[in-house]
Amino acid sequence: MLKLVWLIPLSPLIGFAINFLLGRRLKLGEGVVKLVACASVFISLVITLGAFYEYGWSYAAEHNNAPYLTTLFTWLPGGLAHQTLGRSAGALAEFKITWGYQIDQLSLVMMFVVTFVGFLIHVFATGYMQGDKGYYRFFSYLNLFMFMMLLLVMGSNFLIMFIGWEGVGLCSYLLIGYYFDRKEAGDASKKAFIVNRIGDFGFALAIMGVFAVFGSLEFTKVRELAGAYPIEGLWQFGLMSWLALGLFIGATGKSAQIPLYIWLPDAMAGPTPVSALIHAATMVTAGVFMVTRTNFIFQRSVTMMLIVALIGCLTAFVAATIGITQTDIKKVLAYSTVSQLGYMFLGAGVGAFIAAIFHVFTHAFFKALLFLGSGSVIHGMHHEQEMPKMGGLAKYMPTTYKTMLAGWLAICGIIPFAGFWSKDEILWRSFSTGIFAGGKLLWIVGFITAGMTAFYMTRLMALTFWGEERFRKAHGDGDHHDSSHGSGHGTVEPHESPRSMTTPLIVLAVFSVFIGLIGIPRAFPALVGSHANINIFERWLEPVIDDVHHLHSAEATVGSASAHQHSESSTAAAVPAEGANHAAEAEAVSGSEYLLMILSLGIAIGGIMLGRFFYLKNPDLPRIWAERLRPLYTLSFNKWYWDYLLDVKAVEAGKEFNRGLWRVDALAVDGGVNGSSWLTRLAATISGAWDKYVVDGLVNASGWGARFGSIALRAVQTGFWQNYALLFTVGLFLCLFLYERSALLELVRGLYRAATGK
Amino acid sequence: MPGHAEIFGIGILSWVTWLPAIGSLIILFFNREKNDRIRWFANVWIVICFLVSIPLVTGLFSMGGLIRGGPGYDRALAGLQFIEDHDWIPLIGARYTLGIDGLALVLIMLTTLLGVISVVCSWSYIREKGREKEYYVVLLLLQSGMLGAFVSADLFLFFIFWEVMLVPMYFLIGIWGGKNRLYSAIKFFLYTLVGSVVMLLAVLKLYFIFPDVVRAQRPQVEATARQIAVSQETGQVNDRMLNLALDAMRRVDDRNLPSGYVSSTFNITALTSIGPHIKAVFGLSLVIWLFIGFALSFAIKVPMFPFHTWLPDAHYDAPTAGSVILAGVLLKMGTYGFMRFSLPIFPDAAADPSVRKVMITLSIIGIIYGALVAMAQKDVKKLIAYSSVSHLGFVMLGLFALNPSGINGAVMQMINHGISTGALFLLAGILYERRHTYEIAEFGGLASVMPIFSTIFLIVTLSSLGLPLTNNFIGEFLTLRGAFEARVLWGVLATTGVILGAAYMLWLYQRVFFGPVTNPANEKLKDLDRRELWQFAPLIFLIFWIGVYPDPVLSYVRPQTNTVVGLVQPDYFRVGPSAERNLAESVPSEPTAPAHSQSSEPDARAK
Repeated sequence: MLKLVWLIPLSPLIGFAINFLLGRRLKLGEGVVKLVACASVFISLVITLGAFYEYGWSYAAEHNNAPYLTTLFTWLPGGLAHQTLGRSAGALAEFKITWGYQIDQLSLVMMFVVTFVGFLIHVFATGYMQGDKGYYRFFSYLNLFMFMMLLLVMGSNFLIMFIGWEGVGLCSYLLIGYYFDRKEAGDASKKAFIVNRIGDFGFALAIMGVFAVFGSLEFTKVRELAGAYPIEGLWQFGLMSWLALGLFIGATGKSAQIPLYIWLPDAMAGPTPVSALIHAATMVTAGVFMVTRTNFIFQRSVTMMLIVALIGCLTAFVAATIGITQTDIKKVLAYSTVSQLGYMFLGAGVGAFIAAIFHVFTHAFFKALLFLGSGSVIHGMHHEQEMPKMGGLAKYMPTTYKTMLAGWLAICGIIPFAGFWSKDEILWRSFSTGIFAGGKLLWIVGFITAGMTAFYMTRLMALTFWGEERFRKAHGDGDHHDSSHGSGHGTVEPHESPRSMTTPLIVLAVFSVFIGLIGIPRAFPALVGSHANINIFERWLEPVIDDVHHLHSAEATVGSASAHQHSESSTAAAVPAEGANHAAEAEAVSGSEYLLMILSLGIAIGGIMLGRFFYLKNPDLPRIWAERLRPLYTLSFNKWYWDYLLDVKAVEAGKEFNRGLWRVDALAVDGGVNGSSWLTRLAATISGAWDKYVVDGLVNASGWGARFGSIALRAVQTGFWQNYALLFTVGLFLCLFLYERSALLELVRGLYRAATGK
Repeated sequence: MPGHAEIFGIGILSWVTWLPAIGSLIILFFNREKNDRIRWFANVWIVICFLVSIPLVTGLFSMGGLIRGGPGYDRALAGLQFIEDHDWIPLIGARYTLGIDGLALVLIMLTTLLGVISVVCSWSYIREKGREKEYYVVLLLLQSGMLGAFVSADLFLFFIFWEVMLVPMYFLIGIWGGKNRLYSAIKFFLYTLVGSVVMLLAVLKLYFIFPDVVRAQRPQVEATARQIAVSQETGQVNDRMLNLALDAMRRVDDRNLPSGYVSSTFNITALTSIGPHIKAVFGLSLVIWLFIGFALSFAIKVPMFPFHTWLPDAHYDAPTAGSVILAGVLLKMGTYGFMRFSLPIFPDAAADPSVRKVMITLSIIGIIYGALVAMAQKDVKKLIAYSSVSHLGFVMLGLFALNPSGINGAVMQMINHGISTGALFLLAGILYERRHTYEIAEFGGLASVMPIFSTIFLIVTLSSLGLPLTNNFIGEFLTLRGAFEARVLWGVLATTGVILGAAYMLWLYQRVFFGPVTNPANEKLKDLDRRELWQFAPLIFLIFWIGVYPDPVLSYVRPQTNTVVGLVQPDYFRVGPSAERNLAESVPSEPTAPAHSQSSEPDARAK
């Protein structure tokens, strides 16, 4: 089936094309639409399972765990380029991006999660969206999402991953804004896209940086070349750190980490299956996947590892504190998602990439379950999302309730439910991390957060399924201060959801209970004196993690003494001889591992008991405590004011700035243009005046001169010949006189002399 | 084999260029009362014009003696193909020389396609507005003017077309435009003309120094001519173009030239060949002055910040067809000019660190500033106009990154901007035809009233903000990567434009299409009819085609890009793929070396 992997993303794309292009025109009925949508994903699921089988059982062993690479065509041939950073700066490289898929242990895990959970959610949505007028539109977007998400996890280079990365952002945008006639949906979708774009900014720069350093964007090639770069120690911020920083900015956007987490809770404006698929199970975990995929870069920067761990830890904590006071059932789950994602980054940051992916894996099941369960509740409650208006639903929705119970126990971390294994692994690894000091502090925060998680999830269960039935009271006030979204319907009669919705719930519940068993830490067999590694999940993923910090040469990472013998990119599973070397050490550490396990189990149970005490036994307590801790309560209820600061204040300041800039454009820049035209016109007016009054004045003056001169001349121009003859004669005499003046004088004188006789 | 085709003994490029003008001549003979006939004729004619341009790509079958076909544009060859060369004004050495390279080819195809769309989209608008006969005459003339500028291989001819195309545009805005049409039309015309005058001076200076440079550096100039004619990828030589250039150089020493004839040439290839040697003969400052002369004219046309303010006005008042052409083709004249003249003819100026810094700074300011001002607009058309300023900033940034990624990306952006922004103006025009306003606040909730329209608008919006698998991503990413390669800081600053691009486009989309329908005037708007829908089909097809499989377009552009890079950065392709050298220090001849002294670069410590 490996030969067919190109079909895995293509199949949902075809489903999208059919529903999107023909759904409206041919007025496809709901039956056809859902058949096309589900079948296309089912095909992907089947091929994924086939590929899983073929790769895991034969290909990996035959090819020394090398990934299966397949290239479809040259996507982006950008010509020759220079590498400009790092060791090979100045070298000529070709920027030529091929459309290729990389099938290895990591992508297979993600492909399984995406297609399997995706398929279940498709099935769920066929019931949930029944009767919606955009049925075809919804499923085409959902299929498009599957295509993009599969591209993201299967891409063999950074840029194909980036296509998927932005593509899932697009689908998220489309689906959050699915009810586009509601204002909050429009706002939320735009916010999600733009906040994600901020993250993508970092990611895109990191991609350019990777090419500038390595001259290639293929994961396998870069991983190989990265081996030449040494580890940058704590507080050093070299090339690898910059690359990791860019990548991590991308991850914080997509995976809703501080400071970019604000879009995720708003994204709940989308239909609930979307929240389950995109905003819980798959898309938001893309950041964790990306960090794991590029672990060979992250591991070479201790500073960035610390930053990743810190951000993750802080996000887990902050989101949990907010989750405690929210009243919208989907908002609580959204914040719990943010918090769980924080755990994943904490895991990645302390070097436990496999544990992080393990948490991605288990979280996908139990969080999808919780979201779908909440969707079932919302469906049953006729689109009521406020928990204070629910209560006592267990009786009315038994299947939903029972499956939700499994999800609840899983997220609280109760042994042996799925969440216990993955979360505990992360906590243990942060406690014992050897990459930087201070892991124990991270552990304490994570530990407290675990208690808070158990508390607010119990609160969710109590307010929804247990206790008093409040939904018959019109607009109960409970402890919510939010303006109610609920429309006029005063009383509702909840009902269980149809089979198409409960079946996926049951499947997911089964997985939430048992799937954690594939990741049982080695400490457990050690209890009975066995050294067998029954952590299937870890063994499976080991080859994709670079062994820079010698993370899995031994279970005990604290001061892995002899690990330096390893070649850096050794990908084989632990060498037997060394395993024995470490056995004693491992046993010594197991003691504290057991202790931590018991502690976190304890705090989970404590959180649950406290939740029951608050919301079941003494329903008045929450209000009393909210009063007592008023500042803390307000802080949490208003989401630490970060949303307000960023979404309201910053955006407004930005708009004001833009308007100012526009005025500058109109007044200064365009003013210059118009000013020059004004000056030209002024000059033109002056020249016009000069021309009219001076230059033309001279011309006219000469005209006037001629005219006045002519008056005298006109007087003699009478037309009578006598006058002319007279003038002629006079003139003749005048000429005679002028020219023959002397002769005339002589003549006169002679005449005079003759007359006087002298 | 270079592309070649003749119909009735006349080269195909002449047909492509003059056919629209012939059409407008024919329309003059129509009875002005028969509006339907005029309209039909113009629509059919422009489609014929488009069809005639197709053999440039596909080649043409010979059909008897009248149509002598030949292959289409050959991507293995660099430089001009489909060359036509005739005597024109022997006194000054101006010739009627046509020829296109890959860059011109893709822009010609874009022009002929947008020509069809601009004529088709006027169907109902112009019926309402009146003076149909004159409108189509002007529109077709404009088409000829723009195509002429792209096909000219003679600088004199180019300059004439460059000026000629202003006139029809002026009338388009001035007669069929909006409220402020006279102000906008005159502003457009005069602003562009100012630039042209400066360019004319530079052209003449270049023309008069040509003989001196050739006489002083004959072997080097000829070597450069050969370098231009050779494809960097395949090594094939474009003989026809080379010979024309060498002929032009021979005129310098031609003793048979009648007295009074100027012994210089306007042949663009020949002028390009002297480019790298002007500095040796006349010094750098002359090169920079000439560069400024050309660049100013082109920068106004692009428009680069701060010469951009004519654009929003012209767009706002132009009729839809005018906006489509203006954004789609006319602005590309500027960037085309940079790529065709400024960079290859004046490589010493373009690679000069301070000149380059100015150009890049203005480009980056344009990107960010254009985006921010776009966000403040209250009006659909002005918003799109300012987004053009931002997008063309990317083009300029890519060009002055002076490396293949950047320049390839810039050319892709030219095409993409034509497609996406052209489509956006079409969409705005449709809104205007329905509501007679561009005011954003007048709309809201259109997604439920006009579902097809809003889907197409969304696709174009996504393309405009550079989503992967749409055309703009290809161009933007290559451009930014080129800038990043030239200098990390430039890449980082320019990439912020991508965030802003998403912000203003999505905000626009939200305000127009999302939310409930609040304005009763919008409740019964008609969705797209069949004609309107089909005029988007080619654009949407191109959006995805270029996004998913850009290789066909890029392969036309790459040879030309490599030529330009080879002239501007002569050592660019000579660097061997050796891993252990650090050329940023050891090769001083790399023109970008000063720009590379990145103090913020952390790699020193990484070793």
